[in-house]
Amino acid sequence: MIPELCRQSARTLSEAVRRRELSPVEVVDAHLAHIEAVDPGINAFITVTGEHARERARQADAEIAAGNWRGPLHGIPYAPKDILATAGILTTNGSKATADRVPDYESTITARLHAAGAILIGKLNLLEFAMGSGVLSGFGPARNPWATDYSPSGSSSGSGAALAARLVPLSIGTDTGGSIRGPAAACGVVGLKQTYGRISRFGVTTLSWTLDHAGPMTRTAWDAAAMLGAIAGADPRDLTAVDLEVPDYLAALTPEVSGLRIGVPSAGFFEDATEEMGEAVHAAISLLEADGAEVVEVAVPHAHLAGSAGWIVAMAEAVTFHEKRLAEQPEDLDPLVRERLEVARFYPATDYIKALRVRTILQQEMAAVFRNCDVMIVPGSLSPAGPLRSAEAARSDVSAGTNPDALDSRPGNTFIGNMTGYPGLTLGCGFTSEAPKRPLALQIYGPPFSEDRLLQVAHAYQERTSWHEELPPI
Amino acid sequence: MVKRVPGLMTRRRLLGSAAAAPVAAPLILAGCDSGPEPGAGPTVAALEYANSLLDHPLSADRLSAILPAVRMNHAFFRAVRDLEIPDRVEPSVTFVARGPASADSGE
Repeated sequence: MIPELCRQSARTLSEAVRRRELSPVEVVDAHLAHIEAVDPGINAFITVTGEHARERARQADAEIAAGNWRGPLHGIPYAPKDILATAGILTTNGSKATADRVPDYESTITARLHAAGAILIGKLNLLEFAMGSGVLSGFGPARNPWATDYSPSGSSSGSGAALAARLVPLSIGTDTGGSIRGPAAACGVVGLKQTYGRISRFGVTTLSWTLDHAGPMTRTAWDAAAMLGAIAGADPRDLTAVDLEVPDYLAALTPEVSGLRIGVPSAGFFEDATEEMGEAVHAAISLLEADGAEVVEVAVPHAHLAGSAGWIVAMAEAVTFHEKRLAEQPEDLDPLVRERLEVARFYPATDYIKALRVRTILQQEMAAVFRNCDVMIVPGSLSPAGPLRSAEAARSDVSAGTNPDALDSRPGNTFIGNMTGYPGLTLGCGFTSEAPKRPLALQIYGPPFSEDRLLQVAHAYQERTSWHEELPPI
Repeated sequence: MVKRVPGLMTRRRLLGSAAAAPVAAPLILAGCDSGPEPGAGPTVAALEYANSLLDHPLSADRLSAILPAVRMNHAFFRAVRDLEIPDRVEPSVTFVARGPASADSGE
């Protein structure tokens, strides 16, 4: 049973806190109690920072009582993926290799969330170094609250699971090929991979310098807009973080969709999706169309290469970043991480450069798409959450029982956002008819720095539907 | 603008052949080094040679353990390798953030 207070969005909690009808201490205590009761069966948290959170809650309470309300995140608990450095607090990357690491510096994202008054309540499980099996990663698998024998996807597995289980209202995930949007789809929550450069990566352990993004994971578009507003912007410690004005994302959130031009790709995104996933996405598009949006056909002719080219880039950069660790601590790594890194040592430089040329082609094609529409909507994932893999199957990309087509479906639907740098937002748009009930999801792409538009469309959709209010059977 | 090279195996067929290879690594080392077959991926000899060029070469055990994954990756990357890309297309190291106008940056 999920406590009433934990069912609320950050927006609802924030409004009550601001009016002083609810104390941040009550909010934090309720979530800590829920974590204690439920998380042993979900394994979303690696670290729970209970005393830290209670202390911050008391401070927030006092500040708000004194009239110093900092904004919509003030007094609201959050938990980032445990790949973001938090000063003085364990930051494990989900790996035995760094299981005792306590950074002496703070990631820009968590520093900005703290400045906005958000309260760190813990650190969340993940696929090891954002690329492991989950099953054999350092802290075991997070489980999907909709069906605990099923995967919450990854690599921000704990973030998706914690949000769906109402263990925390706000999270931060990271996304190199779909690691925010995959768990958002599998768990039926909101995940925003912003434009490359919109949010600083400082203090986020690298998987791939040129593909890594970090961004909000929440249950509503409004909550994601509040988080993005707090964390976006230039950062001298990450030169890829662009010096561009941060808009008022909350002000953009209207339910209006009249005149919105929705691009729907003619090929490359829907074909491999399950029938039910495709139908749910088309139903969502029809809902917006009925309220005045216009649907236009668009084309990304080389979308099918985003997954394979993206994988080359990601793993070539990953093995460079992890070179020393791979040489010195190979036994401490998830077997799948080790295999992927060792295999990547044999990628020719010519493959990497060619993948970067494919990136150019994809960027050109995506630029062309958004000359004809405002957003493009595609399936959030190709299929609903699948069962957790066995330990045997999780050891290798080539395991007994592995479907050879599995590699063929590496997430081109999501990788294209990382390869191009274009923003994508995933949210739930239904549930499977087949038991166990699991979320279905759509993804909204837009041109660079159109996060305000993506959030507005997602908000408009959530205003018209209630998928995001449904509760998992925990 | 971009064409596939004709006459090559499809990615799915290549994946199928990669998956059909024995998974037990010692068997692969003992039985699969009989020369390249179309779609079979790198040979053990090729992998051993590449390994010899590395600063921290992998052990023979690790080489045999990862060979099936090397071959699967090889098949997976075929789609990228098979592309003919016009000379004028340069690599994008990353997305260059220049603000909303950069939606046209690919032109």
